[in-house]
Parts: sequence; structure tokens; C-alpha cells
Amino acid sequence: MLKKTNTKFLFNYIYIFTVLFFIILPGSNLWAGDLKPYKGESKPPPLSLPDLSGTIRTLDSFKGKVVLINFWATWCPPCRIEMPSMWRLKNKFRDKPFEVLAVDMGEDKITITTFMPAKMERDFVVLMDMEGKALKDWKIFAFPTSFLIGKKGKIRYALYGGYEWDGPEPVKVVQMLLSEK
Amino acid sequence: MRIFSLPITGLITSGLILALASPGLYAGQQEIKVSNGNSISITRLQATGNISLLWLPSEHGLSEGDKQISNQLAKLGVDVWLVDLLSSYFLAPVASSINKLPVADISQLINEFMLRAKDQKFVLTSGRSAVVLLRALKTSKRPDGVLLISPNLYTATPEPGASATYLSITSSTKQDIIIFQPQLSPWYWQRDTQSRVLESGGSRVVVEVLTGVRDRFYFRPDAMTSEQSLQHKLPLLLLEKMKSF
Repeated sequence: MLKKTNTKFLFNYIYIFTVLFFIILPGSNLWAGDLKPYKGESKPPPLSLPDLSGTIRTLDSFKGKVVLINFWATWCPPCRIEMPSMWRLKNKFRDKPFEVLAVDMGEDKITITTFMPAKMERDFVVLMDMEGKALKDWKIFAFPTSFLIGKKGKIRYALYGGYEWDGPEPVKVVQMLLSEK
Repeated sequence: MRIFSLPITGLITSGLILALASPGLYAGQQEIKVSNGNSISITRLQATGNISLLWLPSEHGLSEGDKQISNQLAKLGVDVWLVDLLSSYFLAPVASSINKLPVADISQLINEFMLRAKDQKFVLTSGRSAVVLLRALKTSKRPDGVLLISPNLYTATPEPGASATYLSITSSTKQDIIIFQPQLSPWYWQRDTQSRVLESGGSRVVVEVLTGVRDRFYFRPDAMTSEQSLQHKLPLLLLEKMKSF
């Protein structure tokens, strides 16, 4: 009787994990925890990539602004899920020196513009990393991965996995970074 | 008499056609006894070809995709040993379960496979299960080749900006390996580094890039059209690669 109950419990346990797997994990590498202060080398690796018009954009040119760099791809479900919240965050700080650099990994312009609404495309700076150069320089092992860069051009916060970017915590962090000189 | 003989002849002919269409395909459940009284459940899809494949599912457990591809391989003449590892040890289909699998048991399973399999013997796995397979292969007989789909050989997902480190088994493995790496994956961009680490231990590594698909493409519930399409083509691709060893 005891053995039967244990077996039933075990199968319930397996069932719950299986259901969670199919609900939460499909397509995601990981769902993120909280935005954490960055502990690595604060000087950012190089970032020099073409935007959707073909113009080369560099991270250096955004000095004096708070920058959210997001490594993403259209085929990555958590990237797609978090993107609207990133857009809302951008709009929340529309009149502030705040930019979102959406670095797409290995996809062409048509793929990106088919996915992204034109308004979002205008609000973000969308960069194309066709050769995975930035991905390697920035050591990206999970999609999405994001970095918050302070006004002085240093990496201040980072996380991997999808995130609700207009939640109270990230809004507070961006406000704090914006208030810095 | 003639009236009955026609349908009987027809039935025999149909049976022969089916047998030819699915060369020598017989499915059967087997329990492979390993150490400590444990046994590992396998489904053996016997076929008449001279290639045998031991198929270990990923950390997500035995999926419909694993079953479908194994069945298709068997229809192509491959003798498939489809293993239900996690269920054999009552483990949940999560990554951490992989560390709970007794490596010695898997080695014994491989040895049993090597003893009873056909002329050409291969083992296949994907994701985090690659770790337990490579560890088991350290003490087992050596197969003709190892097929790894999206192998995850990292110690852990690194924090953003940190370098990845590979588990020590990666650089201490000496096998002939084909890696099937989906293109739509962050790991796609690390394929050269991973190959170099494997080769540093003496492995011969060939990487086959799977264009337009993501990791776990053959058992994803949200599979894209390109992924569904490749899932159908995968058995033939696997067979072709096994023949190329």
C-alpha cells in the first residue's frame, strides 16, 4: 500500500515537472531572476554593428546616456515575450537620455522587420550581428541577455533570460542610473 | 477452394510487401540488468540492417520526437535501442536529474549494447545527457561513433559577460564524435570552441550545422515549420552520418 502511494506520488511529481516544462520552458533558455549589479569587468567590450539602414553604430556614440543592450533573436520565445515590456520602459523614459540597443543575432533585415512593429523599430536602435562578432565579444551563452550601461559608459547591471522590463525594480534601477551625473 | 486462395495469397503478398517496406522491424520492451539489482528499460526496435544505435534521450526525458525518429530509423534498417533512462530511475525530466544517474550503470548498458548489437555500433544523445554519456564511455567499450545533438557540456550557464567553462569530461574524452548543432541557438556560435575542447582530449569531431532550427527542435511543442520539416528528415541524416564514420 505504502509502495503504491509512493509510486503515485512519484508519478504526480514527474507529471507536474513535465507540465511545467511544456508551459515554461519551450523555446526559452531560461527565465530570469532579478537584475543584478554587474560583477565583471565594467569596461564594455567593443560594439560596432550596422543598424537596419546599414549605418554602423558604436556603443561609444551613446556615452552620456543610459543604455539597455539586449541580445535577442526573433526565434527566441522569451526574447519575443519581454520585448513589449522593454518598449514600454523606453516610452516611460521617452524624454530622458535613455536608449535601447536591440542586438539581433544572425538574422537579416527582412526577418527582423517582419517581426518588429515599425513604431518599435523607430524607438529602439536595432543592430544586426550577422557574424556573431558581438555575441562572442560580449560572451553571450543564453538568449536573451541584457546589460544596462551607465552614463559614463560602464556596465552596471546585467541578466540573462526573459524579464519584465517595466516592472518596479528595473524602472527604479533606470531612474537611479539616469539620476547619476 | 480457389475463391479462398486468392485473399490468402493477397494477405501473404501484403505481408511480404510490409516486411520489405519495414525491413525486419520488430519492437520489444526489454529490461537490461545492471548493478545493484537495477534494471534499465529499453524499447528495442530490431531491424535487419547492420547498424545498431543506442538512443539516450535528453534531460527532458523520453519524448514523442525520440520515439518517432527511432521508429523511422528502424524502418530504414537501423537496430535501435531506445532507452527510458529517467523513468528507469524514477527521476523527473529536469536537468538536475542527469547528475543522479549512476554512470556505472550506463557504462554497463553500453557494454551490453556493444555485446549484442550489429556490426556497426553508435550511441546518440542530446542536451545535458551528453555529460552522462561521455562519462559512461570512459569506462565502457568504445562504439564506432558518438552522435550528439545540441550537447550541453558547460559547467553551468555563465553569468552575463563571464566566460563559459566546460566540464572536465569534455577534454578527457577520446571518441569519434559528430555534433548536430542547430543554427538558431547561442551554442551555434560556440561550436568551434566546443570542438577544440573535445579535440584536446583526442576526440575526432565533426560538426553538422542544422540550419533554421532551434535546440530541442524535434520535441518542441512550439516547433516551427522548418523544425517539423527537419524532424522528418533527421532519421535519414542520422543514417547518412553513421554510414560516414
